[in-house]
Amino acid sequence: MHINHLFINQKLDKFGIGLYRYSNNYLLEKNITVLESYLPLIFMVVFGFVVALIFLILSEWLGARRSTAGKKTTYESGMEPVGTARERFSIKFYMVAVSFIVFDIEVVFMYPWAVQMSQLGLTAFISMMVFIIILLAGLYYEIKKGGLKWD
Amino acid sequence: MPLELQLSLPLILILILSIKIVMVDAKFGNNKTLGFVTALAGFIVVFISAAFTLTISPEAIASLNAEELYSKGTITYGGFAAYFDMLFCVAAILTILAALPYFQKENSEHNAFYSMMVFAVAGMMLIAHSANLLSLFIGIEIMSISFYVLAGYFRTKEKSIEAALKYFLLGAFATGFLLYGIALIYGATGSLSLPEILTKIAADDFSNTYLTLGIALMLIGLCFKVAAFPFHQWAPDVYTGAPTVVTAFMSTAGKAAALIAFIIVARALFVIDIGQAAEIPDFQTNAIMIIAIISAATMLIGNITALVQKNIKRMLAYSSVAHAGYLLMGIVANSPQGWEGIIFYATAYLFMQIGAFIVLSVLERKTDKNLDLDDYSGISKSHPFLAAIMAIFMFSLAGIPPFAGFFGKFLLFTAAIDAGFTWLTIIAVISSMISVYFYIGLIVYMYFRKSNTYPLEADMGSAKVTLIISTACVVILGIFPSLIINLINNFF
Repeated sequence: MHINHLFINQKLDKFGIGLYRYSNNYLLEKNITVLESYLPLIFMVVFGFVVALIFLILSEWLGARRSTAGKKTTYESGMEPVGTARERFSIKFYMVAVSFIVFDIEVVFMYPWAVQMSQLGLTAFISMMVFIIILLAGLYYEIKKGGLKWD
Repeated sequence: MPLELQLSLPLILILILSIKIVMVDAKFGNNKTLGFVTALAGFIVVFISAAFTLTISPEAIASLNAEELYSKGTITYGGFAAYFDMLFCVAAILTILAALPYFQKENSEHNAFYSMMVFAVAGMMLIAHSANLLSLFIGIEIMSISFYVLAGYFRTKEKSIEAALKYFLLGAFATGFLLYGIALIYGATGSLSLPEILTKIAADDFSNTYLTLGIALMLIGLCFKVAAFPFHQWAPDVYTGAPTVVTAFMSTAGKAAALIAFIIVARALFVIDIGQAAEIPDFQTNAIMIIAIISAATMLIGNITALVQKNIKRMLAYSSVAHAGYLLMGIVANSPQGWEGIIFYATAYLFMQIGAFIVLSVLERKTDKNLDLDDYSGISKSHPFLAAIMAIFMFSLAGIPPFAGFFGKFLLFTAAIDAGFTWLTIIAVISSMISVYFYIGLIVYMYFRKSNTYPLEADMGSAKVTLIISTACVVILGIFPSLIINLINNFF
């Protein structure tokens, strides 16, 4: 099972997801300290900044300048910036936002479990099934109570 | 591991019940009584299973190896956890029995109420079972979030919404303190497991500064949950604004749950004098002194403010703050005796406070009417039964001998004296005497004032069962306190 796990991680490494590189086993094998293991992260941050900076400079240098009335207004994510700030909006948006957060977090829990499933074994599988059943009960409740109806 | 399965049966059953009741609400949303019946039957089943785990011998539970269990030592089984499971189920049963006629009267029956009750009890049971700071935190959160919703149950009534919003905002803030405290304690000792923290502290293997900070922050969070003095301001508003049956549940079972959390944390962080450590660490003496001061201030402030209240619901809310002060004396004593005192007093307090609030809910009209002292003038003529049991609850809350409240106070006071906190006991006795004024004041209104021109209506329905059970328990626990004391003797 361990070999299998190594194999998967090497594959992941190929796609640049190098999870194994940050695991304890890897650190022990390569005999490097925890601080050293953050080095790739620092490289990534610096690289990200440099790339962003280059593109900013390039667009400033090469880009065309055409001014329109829309461009001169305050940026408000495409909404009309004039009017009352205390507008009422439908509760439907709230319902959708809550459902989104619930299922978003569900996926956050499921990713690590799915990646490590072969190692975690039956206990984790059962726990995750219980978790999913509880969420499905919630989804059933939401549908029955009309939480997903838009009209 | 069949023994573990038997021991965790109450937790598994409440989980199944909480899924089931949501399904029932989704499928048969229009059938209002079905939610009630499901919740009632479910609570009775959980109660029986908890009583069953209480019969399993402590030796068998102690022989379980934490590493081999599915719970990996994050859950305590049997003993006081099972006892509190039963207590919470009883509180929930008493509450929903009274809630049925109450909500019918207010025309606001929804199955969601019973779902939230089940969730709240599930959270409380997790608190009682936790042996790990994280499971403790999750339990507290499940309970608190259900309470935020329950407090705003009358969603078209301004007061109820105000109560829910106040409770939610302040509660979320207090939760932040609690979590910071947990994080710092983890940082100081390197463990979230409470038994491990205790061994680390006993072996003097911790960072003193961070542990002190962590305990201080956690103390703030827990004091908020029990509504102790500097953090009690939410309690009167929330208890007054919430539906009366919800207040009955929140101020008793919620308080008992917060106190069991207190006991669990205190048992891990504070060493007892004999045997566990060579000397008592500094942070412990300071923390216990701070809790003692909080306890003294809580009972004085609660009782003195209750003196001037004209609204009975608000008066009982302040008196519930004062009772949190008495209960904290058990933590101050920091001995098995003190913790047993807390358990006994929490049991007695549960019955008398639920009883008192349910009497209010029976006589209440339109959620706000008929709650003033004047409305209760001469009620002994029109409702002799209600007046008589209300008098019993008031005597018991004041701590007058033949009733359960007296023995609870007696156990707590002796524990505090044994621990060397005589000054705290003196303050407790003084504040008990202050509290007699307004408890007996209500009895004076009920028995010795002329009745009002308009008689109050009372239709009890199934609330009668609640009232009879709580009266019986208050009287029986007062006459035979050994029934409970023998049971809780071997918990710690």
